[in-house]
Amino acid sequence: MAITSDARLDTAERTGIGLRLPHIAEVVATRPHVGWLEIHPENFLANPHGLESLTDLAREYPVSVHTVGISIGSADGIDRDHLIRLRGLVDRLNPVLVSGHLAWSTVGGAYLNDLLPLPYTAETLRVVVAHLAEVQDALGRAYVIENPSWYVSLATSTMTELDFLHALVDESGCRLLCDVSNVHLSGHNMGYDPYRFIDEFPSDSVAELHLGGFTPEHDDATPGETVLVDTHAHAVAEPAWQLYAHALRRFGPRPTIIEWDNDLPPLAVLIEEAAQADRIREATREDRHAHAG
Amino acid sequence: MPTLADVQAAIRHAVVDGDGAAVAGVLVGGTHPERRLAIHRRHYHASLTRALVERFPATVWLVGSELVTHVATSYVGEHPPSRPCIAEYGEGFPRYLGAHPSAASLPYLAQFAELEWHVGRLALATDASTNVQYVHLDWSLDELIGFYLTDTAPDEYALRQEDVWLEVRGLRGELQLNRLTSEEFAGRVSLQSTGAHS
Repeated sequence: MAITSDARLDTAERTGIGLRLPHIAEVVATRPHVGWLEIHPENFLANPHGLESLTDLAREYPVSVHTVGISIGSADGIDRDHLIRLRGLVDRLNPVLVSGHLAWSTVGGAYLNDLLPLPYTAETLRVVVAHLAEVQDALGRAYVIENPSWYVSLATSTMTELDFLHALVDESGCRLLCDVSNVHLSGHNMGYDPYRFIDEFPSDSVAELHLGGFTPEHDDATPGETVLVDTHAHAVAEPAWQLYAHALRRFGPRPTIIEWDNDLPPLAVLIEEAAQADRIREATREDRHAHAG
Repeated sequence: MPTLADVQAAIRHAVVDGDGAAVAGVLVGGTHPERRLAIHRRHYHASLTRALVERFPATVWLVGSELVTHVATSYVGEHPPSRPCIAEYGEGFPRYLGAHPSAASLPYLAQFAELEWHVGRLALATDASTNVQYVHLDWSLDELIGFYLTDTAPDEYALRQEDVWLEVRGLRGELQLNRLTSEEFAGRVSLQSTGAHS
């Protein structure tokens, strides 16, 4: 039985999956036992037929909208045409959450189809806070910000990513999406402790958690080392599951999504990944109760 | 300190054009962080080239993936997307493909790819008032794309150079390619431009 719209706020009780177009017919036909569905609106804005099916699913499942095209850190500003289209989709789906990334993708009228690194400076903070307000005004609802995955950072940063996230929450009041796999990946690539990052993350602001697969590659930047690439093309790796358990002990249960975007497996594999997240959440819930007792 | 705009312009040059000189000095990550930026450059080119090739499967069927991929790679370097819906990226690709030196011996290729662009878009339509496109062809390309769509390609086919006045309709995955007379075509295009729909 799928969660109905009456249980929209109970998404934390069962993990959801990222819904991609190749799986949508099967999800419509089989109504799998997952807590909720998360979509990239950019896939559906260009596909009215797919959006019809999604609208049907949104009557039965809680749906969240996770944008990849807002480019909230662009110095050039926000693409208002895209915002208008996004508002139309949000009004149609009435999602439980709308989110995007602390990154940028657009410059000089070019959309670079990637989530690119920001310098963590006072200027960037002003830009992101202003754009966040613009996006929330345009959408008529809260916009949740996700920590990105990094291969490089910028030496011009004057604060750490954690300092920046805390400042962003303080100045804007926004809520955060903690991508646990991104924390593991960026910790590996940039040389910091992902457990300490979780410990110091603004825990009261965590609205959602993400888990996704990555690809280890030879690191041309440091011969003999590996770099983890955020491909979303594999199952969640064991170190990320362990970090997820730590995050749940730190944050408490939070709505969680399994992301898989490339080299998509059968739908059953995603559902099993979601079930694994559920088992970890139950185990950590027992840990928390035991410690509380 | 460079401004945010400066940094983003420099990263664009590194990602799209491969010129990382302006940004190399401000990157952190590994011993040679500029090489890490190559991950973003590779993603930009690979993901958009793949998106274009997948957007034109009939064109790939017609002339092979090597040619389409080669030209798509050039297109992505010269014409970045302007919008984040990547399924809408590539409207200018048919003309670019047709004008590319690699396609010099295929004078019908641009029109075939443009017909496929419309077919792909209309197949996803759900609104009967906006699900039609009128296309003039100089070749019997409607027959050729029909072979692809119905998986009924003959062993041999002689493409004819002729005027084809085509109405393409699509709705929820169903497609109709209807040949019209030139008078019918002109009349329906006129009706469409004034907002009336048949």
